[in-house]
Amino acid sequence: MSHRKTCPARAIATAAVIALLFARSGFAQNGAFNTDEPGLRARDQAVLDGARAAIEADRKRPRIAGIWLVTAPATTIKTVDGKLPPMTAAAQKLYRKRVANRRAGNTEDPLEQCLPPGTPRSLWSGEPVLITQSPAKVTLFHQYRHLIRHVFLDGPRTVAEPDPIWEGHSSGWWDGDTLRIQTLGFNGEQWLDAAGLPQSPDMKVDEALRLLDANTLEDTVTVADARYYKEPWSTRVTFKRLPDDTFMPEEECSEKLLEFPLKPYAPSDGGTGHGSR
Amino acid sequence: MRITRRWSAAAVASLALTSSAAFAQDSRSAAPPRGSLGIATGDPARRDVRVPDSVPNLSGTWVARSSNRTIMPLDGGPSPFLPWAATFFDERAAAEKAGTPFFDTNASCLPSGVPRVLAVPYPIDIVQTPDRTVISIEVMHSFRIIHMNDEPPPADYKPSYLGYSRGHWEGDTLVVTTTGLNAYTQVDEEGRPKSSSMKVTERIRKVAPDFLENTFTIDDPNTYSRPWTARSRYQWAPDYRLAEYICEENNRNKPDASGKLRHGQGGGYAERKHAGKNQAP
Repeated sequence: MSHRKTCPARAIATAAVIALLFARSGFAQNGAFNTDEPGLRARDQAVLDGARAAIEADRKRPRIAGIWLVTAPATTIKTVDGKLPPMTAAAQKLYRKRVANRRAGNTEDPLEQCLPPGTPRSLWSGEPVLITQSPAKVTLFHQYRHLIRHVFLDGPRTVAEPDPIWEGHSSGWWDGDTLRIQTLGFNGEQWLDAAGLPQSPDMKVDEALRLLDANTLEDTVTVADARYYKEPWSTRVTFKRLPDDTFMPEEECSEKLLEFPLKPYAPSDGGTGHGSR
Repeated sequence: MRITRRWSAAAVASLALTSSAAFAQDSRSAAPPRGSLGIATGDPARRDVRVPDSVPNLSGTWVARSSNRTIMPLDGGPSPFLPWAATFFDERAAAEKAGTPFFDTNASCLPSGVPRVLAVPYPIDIVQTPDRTVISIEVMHSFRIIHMNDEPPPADYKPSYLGYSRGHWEGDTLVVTTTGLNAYTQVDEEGRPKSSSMKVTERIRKVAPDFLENTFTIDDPNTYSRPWTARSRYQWAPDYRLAEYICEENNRNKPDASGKLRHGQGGGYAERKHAGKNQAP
């Protein structure tokens, strides 16, 4: 009996607490927030002021931000000396097998299964790349398969990433007028080019990006992977600036993996209006 | 308070609690600096320095507090389906209940499209440049480019999953209009339909220092009897970094000729590898 009496009181107290929380959190009755725009702006301004030094430092850096197109798209990689990278015996064995398989028409190139090319293979796609630049982060948005690489400018990593992934983990820093990007933590599955240059999970990729002039960007890529290469080797890729208003359409690799073509379903699009195909 | 059916009372209460804390005291301003840049939140340091200070700052990483399972009108009313749309929705619901769901682009590693991606429960990252606002979405490594200069789409524009987006500021609210959507996706996971005529208007704004709200209006006279409005929310996550999301690694759910999904028969890369069919080292 007695606890029946306390129940309504408890419910009222709970409701009051919830109401108070909602009121304090700025919820209006319809579920929308009431915002305090001047207050939010003041807070943003304070945070901005705190970042002023980093922002001013970035203003003095080369503007690699923009939309870029590789000058010489390639499906096979050569070193800066125009040679094949210095493969170990294990790499050569794998490479010869992959080249022979492709000739025979049964390649297992992961790229053809819409898996991400990773660095450096993404650089040669031959499609525009939107590079955004901020004091804390540089991001490469590729039109090619809408690949994204967020590079936080935290400096080089000191520990290997525990989670091996297709694209590796990139970190960057400015070294004078050169943006250095280090990428490691690859899963070792992707090929470095269409011929089949291999990578192992030990691969480390160092990039040095610099503007040759306002409209020319150069990326010197150095690959170190002792399992497959006798010594670190470098290759180079050059980009030309495209107009800032260049449109980058969506590109869906996985459409080619569909067993049946996509069909519209809305009657106004010529579809049947039914859930089935 | 009704946002979508998936918003449980507990989720709403926890949102109220955390935002209440943010209002009660600006605890973040006293937080120790992060990273080598020595910036507390990273927020202003993540947008292009050429963006004027007067432009509201939304840049950085936000964690979704929404679900794309059911996207419903905010007012709690039923979805204003035209008759064909009601039939379509009921047929999809019945197929799902029977354990044989119909094809969904998402099941084949294709984007869920706008507006469904506006409520996917995955983190987003916003980058602001003078000409573009770019929103990365972790799922399917999608990114939406919002054109801030009112440029029209190119003459050869082809309808796409995420459409063509233009943005402008109304006070501190980023207003984004999206058209040019393709005909292959639905509004939500349950299967509210749409047509390629759909226009989506988003109103994105900060509603508290750590909360972002996207109130979006869906206008598709070929599918719905009136425009309707839904909402998604995000919480500031300065230390989160978008993870690699590779659907194609295990692309399993492929449809048969009737559009029914056959689970576990896609033969994705991972499956093939386990079967010894890949020659990766």
